[in-house]
Amino acid sequence: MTNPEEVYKRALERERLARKEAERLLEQKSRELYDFHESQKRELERLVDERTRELSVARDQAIEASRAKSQFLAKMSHELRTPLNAILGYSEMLEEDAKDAGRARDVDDLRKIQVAGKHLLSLINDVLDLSKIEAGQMALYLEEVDLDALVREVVATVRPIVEKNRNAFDVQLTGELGVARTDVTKVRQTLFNLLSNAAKFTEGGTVSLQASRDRLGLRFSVRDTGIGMTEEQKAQLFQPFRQAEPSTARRYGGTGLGLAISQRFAELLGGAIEVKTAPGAGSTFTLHLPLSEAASEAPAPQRGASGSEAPSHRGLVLIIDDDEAARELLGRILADEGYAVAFARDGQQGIELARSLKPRAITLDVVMPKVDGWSVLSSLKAEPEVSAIPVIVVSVLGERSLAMSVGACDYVTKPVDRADLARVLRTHLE
Amino acid sequence: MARILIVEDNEMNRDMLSRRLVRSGHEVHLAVTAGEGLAACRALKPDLVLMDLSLPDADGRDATRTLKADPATKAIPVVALTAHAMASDRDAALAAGCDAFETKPVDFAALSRTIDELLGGPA
Repeated sequence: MTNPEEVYKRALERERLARKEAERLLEQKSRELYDFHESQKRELERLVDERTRELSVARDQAIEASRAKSQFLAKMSHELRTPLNAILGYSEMLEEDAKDAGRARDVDDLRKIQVAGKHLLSLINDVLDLSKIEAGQMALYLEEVDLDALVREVVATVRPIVEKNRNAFDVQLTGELGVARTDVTKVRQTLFNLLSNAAKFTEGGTVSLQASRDRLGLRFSVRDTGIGMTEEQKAQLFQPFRQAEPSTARRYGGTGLGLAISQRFAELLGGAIEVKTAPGAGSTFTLHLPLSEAASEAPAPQRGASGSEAPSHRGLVLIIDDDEAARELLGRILADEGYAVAFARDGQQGIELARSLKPRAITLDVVMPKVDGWSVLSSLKAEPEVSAIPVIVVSVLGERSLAMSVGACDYVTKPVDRADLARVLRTHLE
Repeated sequence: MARILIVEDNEMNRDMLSRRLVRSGHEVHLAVTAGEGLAACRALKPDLVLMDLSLPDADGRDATRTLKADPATKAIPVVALTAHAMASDRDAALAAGCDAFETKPVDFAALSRTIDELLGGPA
């Protein structure tokens, strides 16, 4: 019984069994763990698939809704215009009759009908414009535009409105503006809007227009000596249907949509509208429009007058970034480096501007709502027309190799280092 | 003074336009459908046609294409009139062969200028 060998053997046997049991348990547990992991993975995949399907359905529905909305608006516009045609036409005829018969009071009333009808028409036009812009369906029609002729035309149209409020109209053109490739209707409408606004809010003062062209593009400044605005009023300026006060529409007329549309037009063209104002000190609205040198032709620089020739800029760079502060900073750096800049505030607009402006280079933010930088990049690289334009990815994410592999020519991390960006641009553009 | 054919299905717009054109000294004929318009063109040989683009029986653009394809009527200038005011509508109308395009509500002074231009100087 006390054979030590026996004891030892039994102990060994026990240990062998215990180890076996432990191994079995371990295997069982790891199998359970594995199965659990697998089932979780399958569940996750199923969830991802489900969400993807839901998203794709939602996207299709959103596209369909947006299409239905613009169809509705186009139809509405048509349906509203047809009776307006009769209202305006008949009241004009009656006005002629009343004038011939010397019925001054009737002439007056009939004119009021026409003013109201025309106001309604401009509302219809503005609402249609704004909804097209918001649905991303406002197309650009780019053509060679004689800018000097355009400015003369706008000045002639707006002069009666300016003079109606006993204002002086001061037009200063610095040199010739020349020819540029742009959307003439949108530039005309924007200038007209800024000038007629200035005229409306100024009485017995001065409305001035300054237009110039330099290496960064076009610049139209509309200054008035009118009522000016407070900071709060200025902040609401570009919101649709916002005028400074509810009484403003009654007193000054207008739809309250003009500035919202003008600003969207400026953005569509890659530019911006800048406002300087203070209560009682008048306002200055400056429209900046970038020009791509390939697509435009400045008049030959005139020697003598200014003493020096403005050097032509080093090319147009399109900045695609949803963050306003980032756009501004990049814009300033690029302008200092001698580039003209155009801005896009989302991916979709970026792609459209790349097509229309054909910039020399593009800086592209990655994290943006809706269309992110990677999608923009792959769209750009898939289009023969724009695929050769160098794209520099600017991002807080450290994804240099990913960026390069999907077609970026270079990568700059945010916050952007001025010297770094300048070096990268020089490398790829010179 | 010219002989003008208005092809327009909306009664008020037809009435209003025709009276204004008569006041301006034109001889005006009316058609309500594209079919009537084409027949009137062949029979009357008007100096100019004002063509509404949305007619009950056919698209005004197709009617214009038919006119422009017929040697007997192809020289007659056609002014498209429509309440569709998009730039793409204008392009489509001009592509169909219309010589000019005016949106509704009609700016009568602008329409008169267009008519004068197409007829070769003020009548």
